[in-house]
Amino acid sequence: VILNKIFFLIAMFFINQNIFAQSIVPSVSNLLRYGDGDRIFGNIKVEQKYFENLTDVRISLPQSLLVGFRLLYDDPPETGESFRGISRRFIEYNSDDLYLRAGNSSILYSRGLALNLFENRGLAYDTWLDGVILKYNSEFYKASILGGRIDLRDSVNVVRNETYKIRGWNLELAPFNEIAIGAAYIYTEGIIPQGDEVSGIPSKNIKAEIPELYLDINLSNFSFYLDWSRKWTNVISDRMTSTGWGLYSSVSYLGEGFGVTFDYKNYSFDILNPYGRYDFSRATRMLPFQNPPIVQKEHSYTLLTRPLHEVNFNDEVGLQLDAFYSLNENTTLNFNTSFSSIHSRYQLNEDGFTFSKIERNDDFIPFFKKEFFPYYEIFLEGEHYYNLSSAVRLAIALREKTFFNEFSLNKSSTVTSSFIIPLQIQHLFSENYTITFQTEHEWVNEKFEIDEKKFFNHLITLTNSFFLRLTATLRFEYTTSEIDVSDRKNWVSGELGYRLGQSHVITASYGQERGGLICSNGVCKYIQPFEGFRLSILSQI
Amino acid sequence: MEVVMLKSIWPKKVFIFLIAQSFLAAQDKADFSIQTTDNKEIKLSELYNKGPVLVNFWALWCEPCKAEMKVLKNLYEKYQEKGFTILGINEDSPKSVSKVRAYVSSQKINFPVALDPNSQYLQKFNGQSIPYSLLVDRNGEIVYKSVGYLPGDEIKLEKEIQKLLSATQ
Repeated sequence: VILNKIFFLIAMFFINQNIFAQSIVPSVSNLLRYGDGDRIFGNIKVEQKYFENLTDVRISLPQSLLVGFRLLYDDPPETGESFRGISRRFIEYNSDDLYLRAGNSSILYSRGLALNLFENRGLAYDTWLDGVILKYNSEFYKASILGGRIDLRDSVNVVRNETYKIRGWNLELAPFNEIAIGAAYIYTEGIIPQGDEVSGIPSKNIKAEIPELYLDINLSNFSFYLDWSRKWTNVISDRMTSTGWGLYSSVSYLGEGFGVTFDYKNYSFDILNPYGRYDFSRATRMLPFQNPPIVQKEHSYTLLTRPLHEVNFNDEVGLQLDAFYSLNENTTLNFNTSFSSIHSRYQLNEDGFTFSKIERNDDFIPFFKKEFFPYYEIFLEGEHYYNLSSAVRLAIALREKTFFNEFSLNKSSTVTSSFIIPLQIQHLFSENYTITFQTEHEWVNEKFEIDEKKFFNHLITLTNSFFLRLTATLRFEYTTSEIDVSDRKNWVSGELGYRLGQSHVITASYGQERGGLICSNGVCKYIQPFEGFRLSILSQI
Repeated sequence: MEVVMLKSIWPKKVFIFLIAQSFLAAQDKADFSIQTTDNKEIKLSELYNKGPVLVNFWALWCEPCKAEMKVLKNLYEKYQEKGFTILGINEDSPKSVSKVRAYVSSQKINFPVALDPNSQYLQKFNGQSIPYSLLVDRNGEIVYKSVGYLPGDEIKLEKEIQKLLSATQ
């Protein structure tokens, strides 16, 4: 509260100084979200209403100053806790060489193996820093220091209310335009709760250090990136230490009308046996402000956005190949394949209780055997524009995930495979009418030893756009699966969107939403099915 | 009253701000530098000094963005000789940064594309969602904003570009 008051005094001071000079450039964005309906779990319906109004204000002042704040009214919230007041505020100075920001900030070092602070409101995930960031850029180097505090509140796991005091630096040398060599270092002191207040389980205090080194080579047709970090964690309350590390690399080659990228990940931040691996409150795992590349394709087709596999940053090795190829000016192909597994397998000893780690020498590459929880994905998409705004997109995707039951002596496993064909046709009839038709069909096969379950999911979306202002969307989803948390076989919803000018979008929808696991940036949350009315108004002034 | 409050709470810091403010040169135009996919540092003012600039925030995972990119490429090719340019700012997270160059190359996009893997520049312009486009005139002022993309939007955008180009000439 005191910090907020001080922020406003300083902000008002600068605004008062300049208001008569007419040199203030304000910018406001506002998002209003309202929902009224039911969250569904089996036969149980729980009424849910939410109201959220989020106003982001930026005021550009002379002398390269920027003041910003976010007013948030989130009561009752859709996810997480209620909030009314100023949830963000900052003052920023940004000249050619110098950047100084005090208040709330996001920041990324290299590819995020040591530090990647970001917010995803849809998943109620927020690791923004409350503190100070100073950056200096010159022709041959970039330097940055930061210090502050991160409060992480998990909307799904209410126990996960972690706080971190954090300090760090980043230095990047660029002796030539094509090469950059960098180092970063993060020091943190954190408090990680192990249970809610009622449980009485004491929180764990940790200290962690994360150094990082990286190399970036960027030639006209070729680029190479290598990023390595190590995490050392001291769990003070347990008097134990843990070390882990992560490596990410990518190689790209560009040719006439094509581009190929090969990515590699080797994340070993906290390799543990199955008892430790499934303890999600453990203090030694990768910290929430680290967020390395997932080395898997992030899809835009609805059925493909429901992941079979959650990336395990603590113990996963994997590869990805991604290629774009233009057959001609109007036709593009995108091929993507990725493959990952854990590093080593754990064998249940004959006592039926303890595990032995079976090391393998080639644990720097993923392994297909079921004991290694392999996951692979193959995706091919073709896009053809038959005029400037009319296009056809057709894709095929095959995914397969193996879950191995390490607690069973008979080595049982469940293999889930999914084959998806999405098709999208977008046609511009005239400036005043466009139609977009999308259909996605998914065949799912779940195999548990000799038992096999087969079902399919089908999604149809039809969007009509009128006069570049009004859009009407009808959505229908159907499944033959016998098990769904919403206890339904089909979901129907309609949506109307209206664009007022170029800066305001009003959207209202009514119907059933299937929900499910949603992942973004490697952060995954389960979204419960919803049935009811939603309204959102987005304005950017 | 305000002065009294400031004195009592933060006299030293306010004083430092006052001194700093009096020494700093005034810069009224919005400007920023950003790194492009080919590792070059590009400054917005260097672009708008030559003519109108469309700053377009996009991402590989955003289908409307890619559809819009197609029409922007056409607009760029049509008006670049008259001084118009586009600065694409990619909003993919770090995991996709290496793929952005491959996509840009395959699409034969000739205007500069910069990287913003932490959404720092999108936040600077208060962007809530993408695609988000800002048309900047030769004075560095934002004269047109557009949120989202519907096929046909380019017709209005083209009129705005023509208006700016005719005003310049």
